[in-house]
Amino acid sequence: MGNAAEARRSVLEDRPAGERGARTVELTKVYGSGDTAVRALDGVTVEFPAERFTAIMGQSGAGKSTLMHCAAGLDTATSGRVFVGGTELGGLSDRALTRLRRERIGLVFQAFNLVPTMTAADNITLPLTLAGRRPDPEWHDLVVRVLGLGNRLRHRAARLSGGQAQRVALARALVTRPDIVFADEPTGDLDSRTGAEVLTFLRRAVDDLGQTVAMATHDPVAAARADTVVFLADGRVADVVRHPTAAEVLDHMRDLGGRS
Amino acid sequence: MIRLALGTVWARRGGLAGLLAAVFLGVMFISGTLVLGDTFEAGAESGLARELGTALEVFGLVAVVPTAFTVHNAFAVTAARRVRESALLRAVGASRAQVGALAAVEALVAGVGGTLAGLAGGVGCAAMLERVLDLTARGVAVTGGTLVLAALAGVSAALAAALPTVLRGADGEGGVSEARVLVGAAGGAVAVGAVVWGGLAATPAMAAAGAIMLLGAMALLGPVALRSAAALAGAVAVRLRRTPGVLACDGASRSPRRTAGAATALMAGIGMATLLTVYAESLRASLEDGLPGSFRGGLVVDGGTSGFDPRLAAEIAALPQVEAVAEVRTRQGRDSVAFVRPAGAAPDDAASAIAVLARPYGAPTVREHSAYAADVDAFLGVVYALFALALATTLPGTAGALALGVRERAREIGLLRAVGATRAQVRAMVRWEALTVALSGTAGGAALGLFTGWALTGAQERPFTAPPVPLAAVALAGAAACAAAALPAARRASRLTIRDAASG
Ligand SMILES: Nc1ncnc2c1ncn2[C@@H]1O[C@H](COP(=O)(O)OP(=O)(O)OP(=O)(O)O)[C@@H](O)[C@H]1O
Ligand SMILES: [Mg+2]
Repeated sequence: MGNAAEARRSVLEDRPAGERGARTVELTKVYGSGDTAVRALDGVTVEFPAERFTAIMGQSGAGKSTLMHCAAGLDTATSGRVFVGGTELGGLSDRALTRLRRERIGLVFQAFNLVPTMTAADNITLPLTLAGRRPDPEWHDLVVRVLGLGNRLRHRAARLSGGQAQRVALARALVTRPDIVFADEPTGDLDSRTGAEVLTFLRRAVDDLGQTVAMATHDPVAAARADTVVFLADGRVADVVRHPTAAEVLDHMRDLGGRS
Repeated sequence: MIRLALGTVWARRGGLAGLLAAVFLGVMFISGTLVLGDTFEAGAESGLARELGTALEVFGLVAVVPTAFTVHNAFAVTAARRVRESALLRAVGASRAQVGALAAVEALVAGVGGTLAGLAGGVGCAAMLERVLDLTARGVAVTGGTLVLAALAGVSAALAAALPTVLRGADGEGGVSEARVLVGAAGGAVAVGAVVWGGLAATPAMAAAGAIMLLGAMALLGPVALRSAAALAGAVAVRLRRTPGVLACDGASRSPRRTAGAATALMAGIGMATLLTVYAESLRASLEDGLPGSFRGGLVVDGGTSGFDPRLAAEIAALPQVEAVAEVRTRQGRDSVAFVRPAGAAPDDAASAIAVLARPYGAPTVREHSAYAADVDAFLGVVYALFALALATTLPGTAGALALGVRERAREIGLLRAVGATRAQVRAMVRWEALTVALSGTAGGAALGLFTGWALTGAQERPFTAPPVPLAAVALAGAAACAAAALPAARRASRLTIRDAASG
């Protein structure tokens, strides 16, 4: 495992001092080729500043998930560049990307976030387990406390409610103290009240824990909880709104809908 | 409706192939063994051949149980997807009966198709063996009873496997129900009793019935045993600080039924192979090892399972044409075989004199030792061919169950990859799972085979022998089967893309 330890150190040392968050430069992703080619992302340049909550808004098929996956190193871009905490993802080997995901990126999906046969506690520490490390106990306890999960840790993931499962997923994303958390429609499967609760926890991850969050959504109310909203349409950045209100977001969406 | 059902069957042909293969292999083994048994019995000129025929028939009957549960497992591994599909059909208005009919059509197609192919394969294999080993002058004896029994076993195994999973929506994941453990434990206790009784009281039928019940009980208890095996392997993994091992064994011990499918398939094959070796080597030992070399060129008086009165041996010994007699005594105080060394150079003289003496004692056969030895060799050839077949049929069952387990967990594996499992870790996880399967399947199968082998040899009054070399070969074959099964499954698992998880 000496090799692995070496690779791990190199990933961490790549990070320029102090630089966190993530950004993309002219990111393009084309699925398929020839007649059936789909240009899911077309020259997308966005900034996910450290310790901020950024929302990606757009209609179905706009390219939100594709942006999340390329930025998180789950999928490779066709062209353009992605930086996470100052490290460029392009050219990293599968192993290096895997280590980077495990140590510097947090992920929350819309559903199927947890290994059903494991307990909530084991799911939370999964990335660390895979790295063969133990959690920093203070940080772990803080995350669990802030997300209100103290009395759920021993439950099997399959038995958690939708909202609880998303909070456990968020805790897993935060436990490594990542450079950024990517959340793809984390409230998409929840009712509005539970969804609002999860949004509150995402907010607290930024405000109380000093973390960085990027969230894809097509719900204007959810987007309004962010510090900045980036609007995507047909794979391009159509607009950027700072300190949004739900009404503003809705207006922008209407404009976009009218245009396309 | 029929068109729809057949269309569904066609659409699912991938999953169906596993079911079909399980039925085919099982029916082939059963029918082949029964046909060979009948062949020995039909051509029986001696008590020995009759006894060997009976042993083969017992093997064929015992094989019904492993067939039933490999077919069950082949069906159960895809249960989760089936249940989801049935739920969807029900939601759009299909009645319970229609969903059931759909499953029944699918099971019938696999059951009938697999059975027909299996019968052809079994009779074909038996005929080939008969030719190669030159068992009788008349060729194989194929009886209607054999065909009906093997066909019934194949079709009903498929139907029994299919119906409950779909109708009740049984889940592939999850724990083990208490009822299952209770029924399994009670059945197991009764079965062990029957086997021990059969072995001690020399009643092969009782031992066979007990063996069949015992296999059924093991199938029920398999997941429980697997949970212990997984816990053990997990403890080793923790010791070695192998994260993938810990994850794999955790998963296996928390949803043991998933992995139990592969382990029971392996256990069935290893158990059958062990039983066959034990029986073959015990037979060889009883017939050859105790016999002084000086009897080899002589005559054999063979009373078969029922034996003959020892007074006959005394009378034979008193004949002027006879130099010496060696008896093999049964527990009832009768002789099963007497080896005779004729005096001088006129064995034919001795043979006719003995035949005259033997008539009032139930006319045991009198043959030259070489003819007798040829019977034994032919039988051992058959047993080792079956042994190879049992191991060969184990491989696809085990491999299929492991591979399907990986496919069913594609999403979970994708998720692990997303949160930072390397390809190597995913591969290692599947390998650890295979290791657990290999350990529990081989150990369970060997224990089962040794125990039933002890009973069957006891029932036929032969000394119990556990031959180390063939048994080591069996264990190695089990390990090799798992390794061969695990490597492709692990490779496939590590190639699963992360989007398999992300895009739900
Ligand atoms: N694997 C794929 N192969 C081909 N095309 C794809 C693939 N994944 C996405 N696309 C296409 O890329 C475009 C963007 O898809 P994407 O999933 O990023 O949209 P989205 O904004 O997340 O939509 P939604 O709100 O429905 O989740 C769509 O036109 C989609 O059909
Ligand atoms: Mg999406």
